[in-house]
Amino acid sequence: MDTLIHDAWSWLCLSMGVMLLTTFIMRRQSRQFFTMDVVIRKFSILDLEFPGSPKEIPDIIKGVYALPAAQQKRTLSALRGQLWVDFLFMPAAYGSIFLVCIKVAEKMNPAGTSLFTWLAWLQLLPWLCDIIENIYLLRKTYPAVPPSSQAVHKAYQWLEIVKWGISQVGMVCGLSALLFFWLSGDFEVASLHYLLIIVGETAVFIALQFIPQPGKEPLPV
Amino acid sequence: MSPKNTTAKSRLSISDFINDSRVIKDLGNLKKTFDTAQGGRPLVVSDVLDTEGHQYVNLVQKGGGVFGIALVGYTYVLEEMGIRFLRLAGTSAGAINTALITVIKNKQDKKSAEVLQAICDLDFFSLVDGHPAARWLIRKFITKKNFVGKVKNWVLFLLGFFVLLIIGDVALMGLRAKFPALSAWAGACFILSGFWSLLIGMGVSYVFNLLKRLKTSGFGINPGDVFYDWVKKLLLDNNVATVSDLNKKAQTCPPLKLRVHNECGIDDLKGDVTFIASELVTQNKIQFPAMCHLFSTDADTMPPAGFIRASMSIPVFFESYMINDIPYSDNRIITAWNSFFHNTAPPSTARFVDGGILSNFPISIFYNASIPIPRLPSFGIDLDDAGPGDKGENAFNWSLTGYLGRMFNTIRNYYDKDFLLKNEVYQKGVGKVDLSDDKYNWLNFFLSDQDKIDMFAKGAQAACEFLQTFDWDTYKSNRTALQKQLTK
Repeated sequence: MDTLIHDAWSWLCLSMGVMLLTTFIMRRQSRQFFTMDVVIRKFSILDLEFPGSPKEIPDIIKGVYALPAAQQKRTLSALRGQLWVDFLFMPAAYGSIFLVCIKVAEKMNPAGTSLFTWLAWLQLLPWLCDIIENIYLLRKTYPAVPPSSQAVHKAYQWLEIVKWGISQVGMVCGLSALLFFWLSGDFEVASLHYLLIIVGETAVFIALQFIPQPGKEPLPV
Repeated sequence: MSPKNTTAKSRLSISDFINDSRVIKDLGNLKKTFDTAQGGRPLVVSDVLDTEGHQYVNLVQKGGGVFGIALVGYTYVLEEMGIRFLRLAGTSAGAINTALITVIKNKQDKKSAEVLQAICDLDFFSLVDGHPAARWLIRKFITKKNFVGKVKNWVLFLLGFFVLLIIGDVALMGLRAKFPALSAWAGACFILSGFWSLLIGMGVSYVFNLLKRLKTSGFGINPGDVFYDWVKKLLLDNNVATVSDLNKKAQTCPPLKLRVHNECGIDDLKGDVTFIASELVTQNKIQFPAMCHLFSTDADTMPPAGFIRASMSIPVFFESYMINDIPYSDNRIITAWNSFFHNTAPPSTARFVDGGILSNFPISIFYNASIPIPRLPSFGIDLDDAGPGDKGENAFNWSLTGYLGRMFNTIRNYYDKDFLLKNEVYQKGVGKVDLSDDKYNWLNFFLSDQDKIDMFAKGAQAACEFLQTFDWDTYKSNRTALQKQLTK
């Protein structure tokens, strides 16, 4: 752990790289997310993460199985694939937030240090929530899965709130503090090199979005 | 959706409606007026009778969201006075009461108790089955009068505080060089700015996500599945599973006779039912179930509950009702479209919204040019929901929403209004339920039990007032005169 914290910048570059790579793969997969809801329409992983009712996930999956065979295969493969790739995304994403929080914690006064150290270690919780969420969703990707009970649905909603809430607070507060320390000159100039690496990774990620992908539209019926 | 999901938590019972003091008083007075044993005049509203002495009328019921409860109050009084319904038509909420009166028991029976039971068992808010955030917004928007103002204040507070934080960031960053003690405050201000931007960002992205959902759901906030399942269950409970079952229920009458001789006789009189929906792909008014052959070669494959669901698809509030995979190349379908709409290229998909946008009060469908002397009247139940604000005639005082609302109302009401203006005698069969005070909103699915009872009582009161003044002989002679004038 000491090595991780000591070389936090290097690890951050690495985890950001993995995060952007897995995001790239997952975005490509999500282009195949179609469901039959009277007519064929797109859906996103957010529709599965924030269902309005217990019926919504089974309805979307039922719609996937109602697609023409070829498209159904593509969509199911992309959906399950994304959920599996997400297992690689998680350590990179929550790890990045952890590293940012740890890095700013060491620059803070005692109260700030303890706050950001807590925030860093709290990232284990959204990671755990994300794992549970993916297992739950993977189990829902089969035909004729019944809707969850109201209690399970509520628990799932809370799981999402915890996951998104803690990770977003960690990310935004960490980045704000990082920005402050950079602007106030509290980091060594050398640390900006790592920032350049991350900017470079992001630029490559953006450029990769323009690579055309065959089969973006649903297969004809 | 299991039936329990629509079950009301309240303990409202049929007795709460029919034993309401206002209903008992109005109905009691009405019965006294027409009690011949106590010197009253006889109630005559039609020349068509059954063997038990019930008088038959045609009935059209206007749409109006939750105001549909008033329709039940109105039909309750008509039933209590021995009036039964031969042909029925309705739009939206009117279609619901129309459907229930059609399918429950037999034509000569009273049905209000069963309709009221369905209302008592229904949790109205369960019909608002959209995303929880949308449900929350709808509830607040309808029940809290100053909700829009409060939201505006919150948005201004969030944005205003964010601007202050940014100013604080810049100022503290500048000052910390001179006053190092401010360094910690500057850091805290930066972190708070980040946190605040997260709040704003999450709010904005949530709104965008909801708008995206609205788009993918065909611009309908609520799927309407709960309503569909509720109606379907009620139809099935009354042995109506197919269009044939529905037509059979609507047509089956007890033996009928005429009070006085009429040259048209009685043989052609039979019941039917009509639900009005607006079809957007071909831009037509659709009368279900008469026009169901436009969409399927086998009408019995179509769910009758879908017709009512189509009729009450309030645009944006509910998702449109769709009929997919119409066999548009089939000759029978082409012939049907050609005969109804002179259209030889039927669509493959039909998309329905509330019939009320075209014909919210479809009394014109009872117009029959071939009958010189009417045998029975066409009764109509009108719901007057124009709020006090809507009645303001100073055109310069309207808000944008008031202006748009008036424009929409002018368009949607004129089709039926035009018929009534040209055939004024039909207006004599129309009773008006006054729901125009500010207390009610037609989209308020969060009605209290007392509101439901009040609406029922208003409907009952309107029916009593109508029957007190309705004169069948005058109606008949006016319609006969109109008919003569038209055939001159």
